[in-house]
Amino acid sequence: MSRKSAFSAGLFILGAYILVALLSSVITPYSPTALVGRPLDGPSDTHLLGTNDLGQDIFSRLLYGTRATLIIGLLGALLSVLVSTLVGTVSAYYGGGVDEVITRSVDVLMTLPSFPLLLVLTIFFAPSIFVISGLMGVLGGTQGIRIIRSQVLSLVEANFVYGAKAIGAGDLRIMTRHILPNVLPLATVKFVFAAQRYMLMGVGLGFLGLGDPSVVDWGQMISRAYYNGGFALGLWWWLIPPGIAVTLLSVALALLGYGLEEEIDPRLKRSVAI
Amino acid sequence: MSILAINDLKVQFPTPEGLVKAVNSVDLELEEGERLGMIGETGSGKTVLGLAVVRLLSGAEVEGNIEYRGKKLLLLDEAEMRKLRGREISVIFQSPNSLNPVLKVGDQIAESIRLVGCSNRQDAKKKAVQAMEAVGMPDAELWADRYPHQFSGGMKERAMIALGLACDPRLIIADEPTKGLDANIKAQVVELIRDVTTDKSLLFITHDLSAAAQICDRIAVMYCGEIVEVGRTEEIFANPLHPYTEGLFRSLPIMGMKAIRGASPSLIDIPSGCRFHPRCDRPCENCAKAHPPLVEAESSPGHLMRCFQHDRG
Amino acid sequence: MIEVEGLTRHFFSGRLGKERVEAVDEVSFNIKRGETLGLVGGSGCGKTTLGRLLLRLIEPTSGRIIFDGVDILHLKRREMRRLRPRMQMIFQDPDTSLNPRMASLESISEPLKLKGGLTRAEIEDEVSRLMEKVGLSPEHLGRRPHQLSGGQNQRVVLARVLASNPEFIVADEPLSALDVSVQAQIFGLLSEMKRDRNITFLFISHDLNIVRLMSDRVAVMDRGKIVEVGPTEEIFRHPLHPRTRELVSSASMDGQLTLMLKEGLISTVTRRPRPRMGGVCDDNPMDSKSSRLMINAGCR
Repeated sequence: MSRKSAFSAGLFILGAYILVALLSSVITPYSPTALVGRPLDGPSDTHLLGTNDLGQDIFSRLLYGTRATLIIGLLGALLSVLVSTLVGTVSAYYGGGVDEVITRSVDVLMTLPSFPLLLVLTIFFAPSIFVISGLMGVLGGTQGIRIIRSQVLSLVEANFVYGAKAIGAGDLRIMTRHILPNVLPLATVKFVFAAQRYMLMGVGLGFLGLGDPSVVDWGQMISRAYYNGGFALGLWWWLIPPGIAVTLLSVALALLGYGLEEEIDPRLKRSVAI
Repeated sequence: MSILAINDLKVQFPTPEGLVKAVNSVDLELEEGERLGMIGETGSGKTVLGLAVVRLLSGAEVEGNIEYRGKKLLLLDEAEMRKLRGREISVIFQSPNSLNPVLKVGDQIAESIRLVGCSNRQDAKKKAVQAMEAVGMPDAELWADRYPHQFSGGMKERAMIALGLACDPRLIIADEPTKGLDANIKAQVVELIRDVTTDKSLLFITHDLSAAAQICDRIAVMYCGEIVEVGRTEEIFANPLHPYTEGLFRSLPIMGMKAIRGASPSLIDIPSGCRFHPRCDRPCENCAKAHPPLVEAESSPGHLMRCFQHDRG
Repeated sequence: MIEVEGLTRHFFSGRLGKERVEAVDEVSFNIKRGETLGLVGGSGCGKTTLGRLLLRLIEPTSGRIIFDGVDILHLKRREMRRLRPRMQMIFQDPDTSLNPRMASLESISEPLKLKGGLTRAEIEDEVSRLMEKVGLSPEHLGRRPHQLSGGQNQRVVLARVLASNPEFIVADEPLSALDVSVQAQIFGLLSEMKRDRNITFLFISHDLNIVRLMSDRVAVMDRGKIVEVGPTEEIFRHPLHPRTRELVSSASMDGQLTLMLKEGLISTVTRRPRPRMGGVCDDNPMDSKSSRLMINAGCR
């Protein structure tokens, strides 16, 4: 598959997910938390994917779950990219003592295993999806600082940055007009892959029962199906749909990232050099 | 007998922007033991021509005939071609990007010797060291055990030449071996290439006129995918017939850097008629309409050029 | 215009940064207004670092730089920024001297925007005037560096530099990444800038033949130190320092070629173009005359 079609396919699927998330309250036949039928019903006209052990409509829960997962993934990734780009750029641009302090702190933070740390912190703070994505963003952001920093480090030495300095451009202008636009493609790719990772982590937290109890998410759904007999009784409509939803979204983000990678280097687009 | 005969060679690359016509109907003969300089600027197609001979172009449409000692190279299968590469025809690439940074230089040369099949594993290393000695590296044994990043620019170029010469090929194609070297190192490399190719045939691809003048018996000048002038080195420099060749010489620092107007045309959108006419100082009406053939100058046999206007008497 | 005294810059390299490398070591020289000083030396001799130090793009370890009577090393950030447009730099590799994400229009107009006080229309006028001056056409305005050739990018760089209206330019090997015929074109633009605007140049190059055409005086640099300075022809005729001799001799390595070419050009004069192809091209006596003048100039 070409990078272009990978990008389009990824974007299309992600777009569909976002649409579902936005419209879930309109297109779902039932409230996701209401008890609307007999427990453990199979798929039927009234309940497309049947009901769970409490008699909640699985189809409605599936659509609503898109919201939590997307928010955790996208918001977490956005925060993490903001943190890493901001800190990484400042650190590399100014160098010296500022850089030293930041680099050492990142080195220390990098030694901490992030998922267990996230678990502990989530339990410590109240687990709402915004707290979770915030924690993911800050923790994940520190991992990205190094990558952005090394990219900016090479840009700071680039002739065009010296040239900008020579015409009298200030630090802020150099950073925003000359450095950031050249970091942005890398940051975008990082964002997409981070979104994929955080979404899966979010589902993982939900599965472990550490997700936000006030919202519906796919992790909780899978865990509920797994522990309350869905797996043992072979009730596929209960277990499989959230799994497929997670996998497809993850694939979409992977395709998007792969398609975007070309953007990192505009020279990749150049035709054969003679 | 000629070692290499190229007839009506065309190389084109399909790209999203259009068809790049990199080489257009090139005819060229290289005698056994002859050293030919292929002079051209960026986008003249000179490198593509060189790589087409060893069939190292990917994504290109190659047409025409290339004969190496009677073998039609474009008709050989890949296995037969591989047997020729390195052992009979070798390529010296421009240095910095051609050495693998994570392998010791001696091992790289040894590996290519072994791959080419002109030696077994035990002898390959010994041959590699010999090859490095042959290109004038002091303490070749020591340097063979070092990595490319420990080499200076000039040393890397020497290593590249050693790599190209290791299997004693008959024909060497050197692609811009002096590019990006300091003046004094360049002088050494030029001298080295001249010395190691005395009994070989050489296709020396370069934009460096002075290097070509010092190494080559004959010079071919390429412009916009075709040969515009070819002849003995002294003839070309002392008596350039094509306006592009003349303009190129005047652009040199030692000649006062008088510029040719305009820019090289893109190989996608080639000018009609004489390809140089939009930049020529003295174009005539016919130059824009008809494409001049490559003809011999009457005054000097063996000196061919592609210009309507030139006095052939 | 420029006075440099005891300028030094160290770098630290090797394990734990313990090896001290003196990139530029106790360098002193001066350049008069409108003069061009050629700076020659092999790769790694510190000439690029020296160029950047002069513009205070990197900070020196010690020394003094006086630009037009002002000690620029003691200027505050803000004062320095105000001074910067008067001193500009042209780099060796034109493909990396421009922001890859900026189109030519943006690159050239940036110095004008920074200057302030100009309307949008005035900026656009000025940009098109500059583009024309450096030989670019309006179709190049919207292109980014990777859509232009090396020569075209170097022209954009020149236009951008001119937009600052500089008095002093450090040109760091501005020709060496270019093709022979493009070198001559850019060289033409640089000499025009020098002549028409009376710009002071520090012209850095490893090619003595180019320096010879461009400079009034030449300084030779070797391992961080300036080892010889003098009027250009003096340096060529009587090189004193061994390093200078080496450079001069490798520059005249092209001797064989020079000889052949010059011999050739003498015969070009006698070989007058005669009409071919049905007399379309007239044999104009003026042509051969003017070509003789040009040749004489070339052989100077």
